Amino acid sequence: MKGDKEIRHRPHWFEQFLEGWSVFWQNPLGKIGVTLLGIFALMAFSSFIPPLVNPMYHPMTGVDPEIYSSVGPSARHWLGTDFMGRDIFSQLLAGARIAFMVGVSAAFMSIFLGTAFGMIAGYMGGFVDTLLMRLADVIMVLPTLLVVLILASLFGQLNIWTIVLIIALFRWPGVSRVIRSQALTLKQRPFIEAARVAGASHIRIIFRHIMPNVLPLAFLYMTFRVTAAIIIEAALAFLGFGDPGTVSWGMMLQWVWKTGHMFKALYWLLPPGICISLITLSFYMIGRAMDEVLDPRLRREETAR
Amino acid sequence: MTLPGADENVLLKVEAIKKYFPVRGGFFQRVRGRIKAVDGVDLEIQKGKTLGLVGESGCGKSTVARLILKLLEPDSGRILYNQKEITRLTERQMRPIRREMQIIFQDPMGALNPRMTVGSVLQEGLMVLGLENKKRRERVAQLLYLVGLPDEAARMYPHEFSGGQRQRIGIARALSVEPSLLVCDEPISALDVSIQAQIINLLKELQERLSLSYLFISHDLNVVGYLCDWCAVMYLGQVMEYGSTDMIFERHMHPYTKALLASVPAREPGKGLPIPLEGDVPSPLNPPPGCRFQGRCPMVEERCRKHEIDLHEAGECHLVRCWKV
Repeated sequence: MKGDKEIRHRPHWFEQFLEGWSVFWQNPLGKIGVTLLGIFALMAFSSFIPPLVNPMYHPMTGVDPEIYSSVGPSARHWLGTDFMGRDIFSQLLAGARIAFMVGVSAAFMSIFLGTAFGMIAGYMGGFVDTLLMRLADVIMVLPTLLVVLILASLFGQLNIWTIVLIIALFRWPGVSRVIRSQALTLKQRPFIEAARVAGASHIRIIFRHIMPNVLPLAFLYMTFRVTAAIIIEAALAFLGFGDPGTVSWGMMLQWVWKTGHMFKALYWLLPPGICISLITLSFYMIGRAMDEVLDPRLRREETAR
Repeated sequence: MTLPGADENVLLKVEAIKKYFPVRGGFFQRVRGRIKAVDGVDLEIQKGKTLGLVGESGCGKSTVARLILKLLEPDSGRILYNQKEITRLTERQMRPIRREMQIIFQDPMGALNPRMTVGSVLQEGLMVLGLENKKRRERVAQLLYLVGLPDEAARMYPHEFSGGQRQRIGIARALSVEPSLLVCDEPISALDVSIQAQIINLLKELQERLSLSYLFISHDLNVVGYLCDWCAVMYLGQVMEYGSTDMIFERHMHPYTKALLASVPAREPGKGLPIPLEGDVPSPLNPPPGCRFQGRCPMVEERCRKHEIDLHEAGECHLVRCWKV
């Protein structure tokens, strides 16, 4: 390797990050995914701007005083308005914010649960392992969407954070299985035995030796979980069980459908639909590219070097 | 069992330990059989001395090491450390004794957490002991000096070192808590030959300086002959011959020991051609009846096939498990 000397004095994690990033960036999937995600992040951040320009651009409450029905794109409303004269473009920006909020927080919570349960099950083994994994199996076979629909019809409209929590609670088992298998192989490595011989407690071994070694994998699974969370939220909202107080892309689709504009107002139907597809696609592509960083066997000849 | 003349200064005594691993199978995961990894092993390690444990792969050497360190629970038998029984101690009760016995592993890469700096690897045991930060750092510097590594090593990660250097780090970690007994589980078999000598000499030097006791597991007989005071030859979970290294090397009696020693390449070509053993080691899941070695023994008799035999005295400081002796 060139420049061996100078790299050596950088901190280890930074060096690893640079190395990983170069592999990631050489992958077209990674490039496209990050670019797309950058665009959506920009949309989410700029969602605060339209209501400041003019109160009628507020995605939820802002109504154009001169428009009473859905109108096509114009200079005043770049993507047109919905059935009561709200601006679709500002709704789309607000939807990006909601998608990030729902996706990242649900994914983070489910990864947190999955990693904790997976590490404990894999490391402790025996009865604890059996108990946690049977619990995971039970939750894994429950159809998430159906359960959320039933809960929604029982308790009325669900708050967006309740939806996030439910998604997280139903989506940790898959992660915990993967983390458990990783913990099982780590447990057999001599450095864990060395830590035990040194007198380290189980908690210490789990946090200092197992966790740093499973976290990269957990982050990889987080990207896939983001995708799942966004899709579930969109489906719920489209079916009419979303949080009526938020403007999500699923909610927009629900309004299109409910007001009978399904195929009459493509300027209203297409943007949220395309956005949902593209944001999930971008997270998926990032996950695939990250997979290649974490698992060198997937790398092709020229990227491996 | 006592070895004649070896009763005083005993640091570690292992009496008839057994470890059977259950093999499960079928619909209800019933126990279908047991792998007799360690089947009644007696050993003794004296203060400041080295006991060599030799044998083919899979004969239970490493299992013995893990039983002694209580990484595995023995099924029966006793382990005494400094005349104190530690066989049935719980993890918590074991913790104060842990620092007395440390281990060096065969694979120096797998033995170090890839995400920890060498400094924090070496500090682990000290943190468990509750040493304050400043003292820990001083100790790390001291340890690195002891095993012949530069000070900067503390800030580097395991992957930046060569195999021999990693093994030195492994030794430094084992020494960090000031143990009395060091279990060396094939510490040199994964290293280059030129590095092997360095590590052996380091171990020898450390033993003299810190008056350590070693349990040295190896299948390299030359090294065992050079390093060990006592020597035990294992085959299929049992000790076949046990005695002072001189006895084992000069006046061995067991046919398996003979075959093992004969398989060491001779210094002068043409002299002492190895006598190859017939067949493979039988499965420890289903060891042969009678003597464990009967299927491959060139001197096998009828009684060997039918009856087991215990280790018995064959001379001063010398025990053998064979009908013919």
